[in-house]
Amino acid sequence: MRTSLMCLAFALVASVAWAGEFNKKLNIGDPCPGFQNLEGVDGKRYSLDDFKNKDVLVIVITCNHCPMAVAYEDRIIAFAGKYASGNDSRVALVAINVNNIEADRLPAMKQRAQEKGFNFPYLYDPSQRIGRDLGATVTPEFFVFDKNRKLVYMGAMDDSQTAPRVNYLEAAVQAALEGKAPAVKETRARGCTVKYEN
Amino acid sequence: MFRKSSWILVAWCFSLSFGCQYSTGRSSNAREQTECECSPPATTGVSLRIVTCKEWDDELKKYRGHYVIVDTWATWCGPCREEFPNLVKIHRRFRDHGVVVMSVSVDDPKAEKPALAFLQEMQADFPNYLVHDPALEWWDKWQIKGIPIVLVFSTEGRLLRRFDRDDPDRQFTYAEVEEYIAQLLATKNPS
Repeated sequence: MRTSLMCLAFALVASVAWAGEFNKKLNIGDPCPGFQNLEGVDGKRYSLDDFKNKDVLVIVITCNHCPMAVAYEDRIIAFAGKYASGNDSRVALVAINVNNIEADRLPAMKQRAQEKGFNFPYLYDPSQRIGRDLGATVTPEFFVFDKNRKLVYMGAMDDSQTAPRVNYLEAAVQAALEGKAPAVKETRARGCTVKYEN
Repeated sequence: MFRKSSWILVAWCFSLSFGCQYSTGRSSNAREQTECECSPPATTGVSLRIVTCKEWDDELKKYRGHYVIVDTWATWCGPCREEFPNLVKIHRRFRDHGVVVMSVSVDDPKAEKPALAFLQEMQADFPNYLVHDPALEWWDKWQIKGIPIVLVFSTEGRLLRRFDRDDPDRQFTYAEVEEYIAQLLATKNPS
C-alpha cells in the first residue's frame, strides 16, 4: 500500500516535472513530434523528414481567423525571408493550422497565403495531432528545434504584440545555429485558444 | 526530483491566490453601498464598463461575501462567443444563491460597441467590463495563454479555481464550472 502511494506521488510529481513551465506536454530538450503527409497550401504534402537537412526547424501553430495570429503574419514573413528562404538556408519555418472551423480550413488557408504572399509552407492538420503533441494551445505559438530536433525554445515570438522589444524566436534560432542554448528557453504565448475537438 | 518548473508552478498557484489583491484601489461610494452580505449589487439591463486592470480589482472588492465567476472573452474569440450562453445559464441558475457572474472583455476599447451589442444579444445582465489593457497586464496577471478562461473567486476575493484550456487534452467546459459552483454551494450550505 505504502509503495503504491509512493509510486502515485512520484507519478504526480513526474507529470508536472515533464511538462514545460507554460506547456503541459513538452519540455525543453524533448524530441520534435513527428508529422506525416500534411497538405500544404501549395498542394504538396509535407512530413517532418522533409526538413531533415535543415540545422534548425521552426514550427508555428497558427490559423487564419485569429486577430493575434493575423497580427504576427508580417513578422513571420519577415522572419522567413531573413532566415528560412531558399534551399540553401540552414533554417526552415513551417506554419501549421490545426483548427477545423470553416474560416481556418484549407480553402481559406490557401486564400490567405495567396493574399499575404506566405514565403513558407503553411500546412493543415485536420486530425489536430501535431497541435496536441506539441502541447500548443494558442495561435500563434512557436517551437524551435535544433539540428538534433530537440526542442530549444517554445512560446511567443516576441515580448509584445504592439511594440516588441525582444525577439525570442530570432534569439533562439541564432543560438541554435551557433550550437548554443538560448538565454530564454520558454515564454508564455498569448493568442486565440486552439479549438480542440474531443 | 522536483524540478524548477514544479516549484515555479507551486509558487505561481500561491501567487494567483493573492493575485487580485495586490492593488489597494480607491474606495468609491458605490463600493461602500454595495458591500453587504445580502444579494449582489443590482444590474440594470445590460451594460459594459471600460476599466483599467487596477480599477477591476476595486470592482471585484464590491462583491465580497459572494462567490464571483469571472469569464475573460473577446468579440474576436469564436469559442468565447459560441460558449457565452453557458455563462449566462450559470448566472441564471446561481444569481440568487450568493454567486456573481461577471465578464471581462479583452477587446480593444474601439470594440466597445460590438462588445456591448453582443452582451445585449446574450442578455448578459451581470457586471460586464472591458479592460483597457494596452500593456496586456490582464493577461500577465492571470497567466493567460488563451481565452475563454474562467476564474472563480471565494467570498473573500481569493482565487479558488481556474478553468482554462492550457492543456490540449484537458480543455475545460462550462458544465464543469457549473458543477464546481454547485459543489461549492453544497459544501457551504449542506442540506
